[in-house]
Amino acid sequence: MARGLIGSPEPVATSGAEANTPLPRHPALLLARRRLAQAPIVLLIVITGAFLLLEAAPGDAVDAYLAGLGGDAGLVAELRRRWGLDRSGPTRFLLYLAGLATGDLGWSVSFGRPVLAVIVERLPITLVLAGAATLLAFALGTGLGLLAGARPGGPLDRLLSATALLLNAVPTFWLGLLLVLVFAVRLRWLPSAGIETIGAGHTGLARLLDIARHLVLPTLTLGLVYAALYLRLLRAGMVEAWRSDYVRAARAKGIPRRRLVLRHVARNALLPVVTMLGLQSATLVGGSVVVESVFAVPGLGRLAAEAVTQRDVPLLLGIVIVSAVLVVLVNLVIDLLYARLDPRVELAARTP
Amino acid sequence: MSDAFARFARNPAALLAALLLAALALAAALAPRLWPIDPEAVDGPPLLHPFTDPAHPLGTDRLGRDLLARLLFGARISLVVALAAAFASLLIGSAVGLAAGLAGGRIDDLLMRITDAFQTVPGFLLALAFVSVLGPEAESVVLAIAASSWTGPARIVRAEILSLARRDFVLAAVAVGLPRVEIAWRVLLPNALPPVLAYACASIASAVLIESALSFLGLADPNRASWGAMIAEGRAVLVREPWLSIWPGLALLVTVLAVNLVGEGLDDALAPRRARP
Amino acid sequence: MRLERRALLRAGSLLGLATITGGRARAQTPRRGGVLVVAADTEPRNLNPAMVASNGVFYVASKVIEPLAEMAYGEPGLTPRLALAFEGSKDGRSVTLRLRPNVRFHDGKPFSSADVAWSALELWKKHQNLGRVVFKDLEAVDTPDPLTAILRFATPTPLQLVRNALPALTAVVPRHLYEGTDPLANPHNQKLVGTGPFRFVEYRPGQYYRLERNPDYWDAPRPWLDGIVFRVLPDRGAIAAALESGEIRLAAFSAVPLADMQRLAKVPGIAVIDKGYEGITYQLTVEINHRRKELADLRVRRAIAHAIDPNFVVERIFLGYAKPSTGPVPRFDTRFYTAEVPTYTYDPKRAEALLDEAGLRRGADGVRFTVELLPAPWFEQTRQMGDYLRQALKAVGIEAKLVVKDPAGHQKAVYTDHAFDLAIGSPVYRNDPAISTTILYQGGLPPGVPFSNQYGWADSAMDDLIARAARELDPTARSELYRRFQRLAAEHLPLIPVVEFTFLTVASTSVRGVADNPRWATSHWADTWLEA
Repeated sequence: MARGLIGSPEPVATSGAEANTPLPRHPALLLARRRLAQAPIVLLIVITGAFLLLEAAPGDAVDAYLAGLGGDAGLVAELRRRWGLDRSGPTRFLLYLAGLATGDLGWSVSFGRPVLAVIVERLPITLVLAGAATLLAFALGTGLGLLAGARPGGPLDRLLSATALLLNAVPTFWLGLLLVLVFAVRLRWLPSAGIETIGAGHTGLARLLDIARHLVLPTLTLGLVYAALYLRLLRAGMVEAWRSDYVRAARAKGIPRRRLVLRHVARNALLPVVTMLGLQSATLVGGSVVVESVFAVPGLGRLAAEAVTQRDVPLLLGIVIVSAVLVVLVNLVIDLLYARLDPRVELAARTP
Repeated sequence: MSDAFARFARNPAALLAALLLAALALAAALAPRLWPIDPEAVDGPPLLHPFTDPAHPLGTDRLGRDLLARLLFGARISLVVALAAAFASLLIGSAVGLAAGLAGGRIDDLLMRITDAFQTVPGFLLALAFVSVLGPEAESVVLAIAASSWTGPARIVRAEILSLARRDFVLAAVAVGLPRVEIAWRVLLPNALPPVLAYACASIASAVLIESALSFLGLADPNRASWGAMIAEGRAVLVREPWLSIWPGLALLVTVLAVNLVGEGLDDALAPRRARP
Repeated sequence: MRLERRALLRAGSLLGLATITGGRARAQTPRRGGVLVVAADTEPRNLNPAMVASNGVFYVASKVIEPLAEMAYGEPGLTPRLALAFEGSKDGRSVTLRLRPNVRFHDGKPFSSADVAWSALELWKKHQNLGRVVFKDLEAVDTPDPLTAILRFATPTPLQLVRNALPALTAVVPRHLYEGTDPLANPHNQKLVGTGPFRFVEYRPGQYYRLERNPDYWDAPRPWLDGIVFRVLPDRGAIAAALESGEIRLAAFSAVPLADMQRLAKVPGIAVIDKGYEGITYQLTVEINHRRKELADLRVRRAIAHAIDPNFVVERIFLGYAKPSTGPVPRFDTRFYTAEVPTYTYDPKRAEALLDEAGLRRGADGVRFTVELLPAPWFEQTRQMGDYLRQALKAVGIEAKLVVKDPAGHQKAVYTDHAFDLAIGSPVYRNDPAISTTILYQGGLPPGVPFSNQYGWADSAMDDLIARAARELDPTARSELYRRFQRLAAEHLPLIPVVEFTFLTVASTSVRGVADNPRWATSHWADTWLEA
């Protein structure tokens, strides 16, 4: 994906590399099954990697804790013993895995609370933000992409494509700052930070509206950038589709243009967009670190960054595990969606 | 290849972008000569407005350091780190993809599970963790970006190898009895590379953005000015002096846009070659 | 010594309370009601001030859990909270505390000497970062009756030190909620229960802490506010924006960028208050690793001191809100401070001469030697000071490479691994040199102790002085010993204090009763109120 902040660049044409490899039947379903079977191994690799990374970091949780406090040698030793940091790395890792096997995500030393409780508090915020941003990006991206791809090369296409190109190059955090400057500081239309008005005592609908108001700018920041991506992706797919044999054939048959665009051209081009949705589930959390930082949104992304600074190994591992499970789940859903959308499957069923 | 070059040259946007990038690279390289002010030196009054003092055309920051000089020196870090990181990620990715595609079986499985694992972790978070742990020196930023973005090229190369392996000319080479290493080196690699090269620009653009985001979050080498760190520094006085964050942001925008345009031009220019069976 | 409120107020007004912006002196009748929303830029995990003595913790917790006494402007410098009076024995082995009657914890249980005894022995002495130093010789606490607690020390401990430690080190938590539990894992470290003017309601990580009025407070009709919300806003720019838009009414600890402060001061309805932090004065200090042979040379350290322009630091980095330091004790503490010490004026020529004299001549590239400089990540100003020092050293031929680490990394590099040449630190002075200041000069400390002398410098005369002052019972003699301590520190320059600074409060003018004691931001806020 041609986006920096979002994370690992992913090739557009081959994005569904495995999905596009010819497989006998319902390739996406087979893929889904395989993904599920591989999940534990992938997870183990992720956990080991994250653990090793924090082991290599200078200073441990006690150093991070005392960095703002001071103390004496006795306190340092006592804390290390209490937090189990006097044990060797491998011992701690095995103990952690043993706990994990019983479903225990461990104890966050920096929060002094169970890891699960800390994560559960932050997860919904990130899910709402990422969900809203994805929805916005998908609606805006495919909607405008459809308009652009309906007549490639037309004036509307040029305008939209140029805008998308520009948005694609904007650093997310900078876009966020500009939005704050304009809409929160100058115009005072929207709040600049946080997720709800504290102490306002809103309940029910009023509270929901209040939260929605706070989420407008972060969602726009995160969503606009992805919308540009979807727009470009859909448009590229449609341009390709216009050139394909079956669209040419359908055109020759005299199918009305509107129907042609919607049923044949766009539908086909939607597939890579759907694949991209899945691929982005992981990168979205990464992108939200920056947005959460700009807008002081207490989400999972910021929590992860805090876990690293606090050298809170169990917390970071917990976040990694939870986000990995989420990614696997989202991709399962996407695979199922893909199987439903793929016109090849439909065509195979229709043509005798 | 000369066809491709001609096609690229016919694309005005791409050509313009390429020239712009060349100019930027030149300006960054010659910064000390073009604008001989030490970007770290306190050189004027603090928070000078842009266009008020010809000695500091873009103004000064809170300590009174010249913004134009910092912007020019910031280009160095952005470009060097991005190029190095993109190169490293393509190198790692190609190596892993090649190994996985060629070896197949268990090695392929293992390598792909590692790739999966890296893709499961949010890329930016990985880079962030890497730099927090290793320190914000340029080398570790390069490593962090590479670590968070090698999976893309790895998958392309592997997919390419797998599809090439079924092609007639490869099958023929196998039938003739060429050694595997030789097939890999002389037949598969040259054919798998073009899509990776077309992908390089996307890698660079992405690396520029990741580097700027990391330095925006405070993970920048404090000895050198960088665009992301300048935006973060300007953020503290965003309301009072928004230009402090706007200049480096514009610089980033233009750079990434230009890289993307060049990438598109390259993609178009190379596409016919890819389409050839 | 008796601490009467009336006597205290009299003394206070004599010493010019009028200069204290927003203080009770110029207040009209306080009004009841209103929730004060303020900014918090850090989020301490363990909020228990009896265990964690830090300003980030006090900022929130001091409204819920009270110390025995609070600092006050003027003489005697203390105002009673949970203790009404205290008295030391002649031999320095015991301090008798008379406690306030009719005080209840927020859960309804009465406060008594047993709570003081338990907090002192189990928390201050065993767990608290500062208490472990001051109360290390505390042997026992006798409780002859519910309103009397007698601290018994194994070795003579100056009453002056105990007295100076009261505001920051003696928060009292309910024994009945802690006894028999692991104090570190006690849920009440987050869900605080104390005797203070406000009750703890909830903490939403990343969002806010919420306190509500304690209707059962001993100092009725105080507190005036219905509640306080500490809104977590880690970004300074966001805090300034929230202040202007009225989303928050007060930001303490200079949480707004100083450069923005000047602009905000002109916004109608917003006031910038520079009082209320004298009791927690910070210093910006150049820490030196004496294991590096060039830096072990006194001439080189003096040269570095001469290379630094404190006025630049005051004007550019602190925008005037700081003063040049002369030594480890800040000017505000007139009991201990002395200006009669060797000083090092800004004089790059002299610096170069000293470096030449030390045999460190400029090489062909103009560089004498190269150092690694680690600015602490705690404050924006420590980082900016790093940028400045690098330039200042370059001017005299010392090449500094900046190395910035995150808090844990910095902590480990400087105080455990000693992997630095120069560092920028920001030690806090806490009302007595023995609490957190002499530890920066004392030799022979094991590695790994944060904010202590990990500099590889030791001097027997200095160690002797520090030990004597820690045992000296006579306040006058003790103050004199600390004046000698400052002279010795300035002479040997094991570290270089550059400037001393306190913080600023930016608040809506509708917030009254602000900055009425030298630790205001970290005190009770029972007297704070909101104009209608």
